[in-house]
Amino acid sequence: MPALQATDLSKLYGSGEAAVHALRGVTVAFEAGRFHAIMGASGSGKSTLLHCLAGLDRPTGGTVRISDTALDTLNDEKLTLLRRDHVGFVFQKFNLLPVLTARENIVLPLTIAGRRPDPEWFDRVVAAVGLADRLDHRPAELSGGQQQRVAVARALMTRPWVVFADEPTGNLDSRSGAEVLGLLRDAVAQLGQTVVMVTHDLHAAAHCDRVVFLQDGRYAAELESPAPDDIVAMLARLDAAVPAGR
Amino acid sequence: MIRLTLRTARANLTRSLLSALAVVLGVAFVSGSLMFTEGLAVAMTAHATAEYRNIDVEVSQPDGVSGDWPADMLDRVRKVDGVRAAEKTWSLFNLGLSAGDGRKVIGDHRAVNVAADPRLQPIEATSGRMPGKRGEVVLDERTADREHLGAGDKLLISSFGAKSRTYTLVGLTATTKGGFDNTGALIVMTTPDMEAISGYPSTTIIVSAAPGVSNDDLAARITAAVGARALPHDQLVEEAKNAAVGNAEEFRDALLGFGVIAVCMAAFVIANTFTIVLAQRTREIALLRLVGTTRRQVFRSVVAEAAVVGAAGSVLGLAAGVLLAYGLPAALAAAGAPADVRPVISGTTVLVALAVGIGVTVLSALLPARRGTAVAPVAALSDASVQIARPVGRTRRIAGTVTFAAGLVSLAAANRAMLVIAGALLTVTGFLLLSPVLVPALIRFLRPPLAALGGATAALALLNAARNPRRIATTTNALVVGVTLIATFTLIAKSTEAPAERRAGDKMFAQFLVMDANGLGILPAGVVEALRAQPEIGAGLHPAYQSFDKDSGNEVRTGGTGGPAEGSAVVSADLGLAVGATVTVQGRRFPVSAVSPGTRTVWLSAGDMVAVFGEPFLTEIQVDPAPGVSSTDARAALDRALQAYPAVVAYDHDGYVDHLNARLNQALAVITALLSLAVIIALIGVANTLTLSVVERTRENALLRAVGLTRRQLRRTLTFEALVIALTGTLIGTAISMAITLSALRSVEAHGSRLALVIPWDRLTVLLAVAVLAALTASILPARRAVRHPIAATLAAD
Repeated sequence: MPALQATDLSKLYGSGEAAVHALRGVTVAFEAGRFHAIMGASGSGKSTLLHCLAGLDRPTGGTVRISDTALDTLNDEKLTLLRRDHVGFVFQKFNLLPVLTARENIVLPLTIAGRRPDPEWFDRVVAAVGLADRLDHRPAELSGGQQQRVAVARALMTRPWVVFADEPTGNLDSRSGAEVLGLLRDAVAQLGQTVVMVTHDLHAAAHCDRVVFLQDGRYAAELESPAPDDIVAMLARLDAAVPAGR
Repeated sequence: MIRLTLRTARANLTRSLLSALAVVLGVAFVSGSLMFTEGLAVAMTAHATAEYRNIDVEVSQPDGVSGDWPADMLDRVRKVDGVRAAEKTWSLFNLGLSAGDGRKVIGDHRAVNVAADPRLQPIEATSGRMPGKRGEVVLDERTADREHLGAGDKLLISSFGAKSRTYTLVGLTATTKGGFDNTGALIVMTTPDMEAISGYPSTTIIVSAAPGVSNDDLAARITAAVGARALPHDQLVEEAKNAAVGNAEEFRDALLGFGVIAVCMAAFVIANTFTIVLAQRTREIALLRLVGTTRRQVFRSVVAEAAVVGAAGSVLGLAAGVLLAYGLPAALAAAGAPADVRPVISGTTVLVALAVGIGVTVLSALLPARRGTAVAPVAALSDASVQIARPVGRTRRIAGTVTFAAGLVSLAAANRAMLVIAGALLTVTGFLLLSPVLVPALIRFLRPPLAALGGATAALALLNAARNPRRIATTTNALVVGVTLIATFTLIAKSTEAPAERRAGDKMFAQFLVMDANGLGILPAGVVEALRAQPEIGAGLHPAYQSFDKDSGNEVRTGGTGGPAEGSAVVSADLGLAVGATVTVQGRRFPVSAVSPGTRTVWLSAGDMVAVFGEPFLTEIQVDPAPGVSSTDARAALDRALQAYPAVVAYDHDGYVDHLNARLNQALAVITALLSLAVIIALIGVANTLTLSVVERTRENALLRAVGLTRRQLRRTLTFEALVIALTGTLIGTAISMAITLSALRSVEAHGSRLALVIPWDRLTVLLAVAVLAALTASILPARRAVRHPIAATLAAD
């Protein structure tokens, strides 16, 4: 069974003439223990897909299952609790609360849940992201790369079913970006995590086991463990095949 | 630039609304007070004018001259050529009034007399007729309505120190007692009746002129003929009007004092709003600067925006002020005060309201505008999403510490009222300066226990509340000032109220106290006989007398329980007499049995007082029931005996305490009501800060929701934040007011009497409950806004 499954997912913004179809019936599955990327041109619907998959946004049609839970059967409260306990997030920016220290940010989902962190797991995650000496700093005192590593640590802290990453390297220089990708890669390889990442960065996508391509709100293609050149070629092919009238 | 300003103001409409609300309330209060008091002046002027209806000339003693009013003055005036008719008039206060069945009408009643000649009557009957012969009276409609009295009813009326007489009510008049505090009845009687009860000759004569004689001429003729002061109608009206307007202005100034406080609170709120809004607009302002707008232009644009907000607030405030001005007479009428006030909306009021509203908004926005527009153009390019709070300057820290300390020292050492006031002002000012340091420190201190109690949401709320020290300081400052004012008034009032209890205990040695209702300290002599006739209480009377020994210049009084025995005297120490010496009162010698503190006073037994003076003033009577008589029966006997004395009342211990406190409670209620406006504006400031903070933290809140904070938890976090701000302000204000009150009480103690701090928990609880409720209310809208934001869209937005 896949860790994450979207079936005939559609998302409509607005109504009438002004309606925008962000997703038009996307069916795609993500197997557990792999590093997935979602790519596509601007407006292809990749961010919308990620938001729907992660339960941050509700699709207009179709279903999303995380593990064996269908998200459309959950009310806002239950959905929130599912995110809190079983989903990890790394965003492009605004990942951290400025008033909390790095340590407090990392354990935030557990604090919200009123649970104590498992000290062994905490040490392991913190060691993995290399932040042991920065735990009592506030986000404003950390570099962009360090902030993003704190975000990754937070995403891993609850041992989630899936970690979603939305352009995690978009705001970073290439070295920091590579470090963050390496961390996500390690989470998959060493901790058996499932990671789904939206990116438009070729090098980021090249770290992945599998790249799913979206075009115009539809599933377009996918590549297994592609090299950067393969991805370029695929994007070029999709770009050329833009339907008339667009 | 103007167009941009207007667009910005419109775009920020919701944000401006709350600060505008502060302006609205301040302006409403000020303009409402003006409209009401101008209406009051008109009503009082009308009343003053009506008093002189049908009076062409009034003859009276020149100011400052007493005595020497010839008994035949009326005859002399009547003989002056051009006088058609003339009549003596009295205006008698402190009358006792009760219905024929003995039901007492409590109030400060006034009696006037009218001539038999209708053309010399300033008052006319609106139903029934004017009194025509002795024993007939007319009453004002309002009192008659309230007491369900009508023509044909019997009334008991007494002037002070006298037994009542029975009168028949023959008509009602629309004229009221007049003056500002017109809660008593107006009683109109015939001249012979008035002459009989007044006890002193009239020194005022009203005159009606013969046809063809002008008022001015007649006045001059009378002055020349009789040597008294004679004023013509127009001048009388003019003087009365001036007095009325003067009274209304005094009342207006008192109201405006509270208006100033409210407007100051509004200034706090506005300044805070502009600081926050401009900080949030840093990027926008930097962009304007980047494309070539000068700093001066940006500054002017912000000031213009403040003027727009102020103008809108003033207009709404004026509208609210009209409602307030119309509501106030209705509220006063419900409390029994004059209802015939129609608010006046004058051009001056409108101008004042606009000037106050716009002026306060612009002035309060100046400093924030100066700081907020000092943005380097390059800031447009940087990521300024997280506001960095300006640290508190060293000068402010030092000045604050010094002022605060000086205030506390002054409070601790105060032995005079001036020092207490100075100490209070210094302490509050010092606190206002130090609050960006003190308030966050307090919240940090409270964080661990509250976090342990309230969990993650509470901890987060506390962090958020204190994240910008200046912001929370300004927000709580307004609240601290408002609460300090209210709580200080309440604490001082309640602490000085306690002695009322003690005063009653000290004074009352018997079960009942009989005294006059108007607080004049004189009872009709006949009351003693009336009480003695009642077997239930007749044997337990302790009358108190007071008189004056003309030969020695000493005051002579009855002593209480510790007073001298029959045939002996107690003297005050300053008379220089020792125990065993003798003191002479009205030629009779009494051995001195004790010496007491006091000034030129001799205490005798009640029996000796009557024996020596014949008819000394009866000031009060304490009454004990006969053995075996229940207090209910005693009370009934008292009421029976006092039925014929409308101005005499009997209290038991609790009733007397209530009587002593009644006036204080009423004053406290009025002051509390007027000050609560300041607190309400301060609480609007809390809502304002919270709303703006939520706008600022939209992304953070979305992130929290994404990583698992439920809607309910987010709402709770914001509610908690509002609670923290509101409670911090309220508690600090209460603490400061306790310090001030303690100091004030101690300074009084230094003058002899002892006062303990009484903490009125019920009232403080109400204050706290209001703050909590307001905080909860204040958090509703921001919280709704916060939870409604779609997570995905907010996080994705740049």
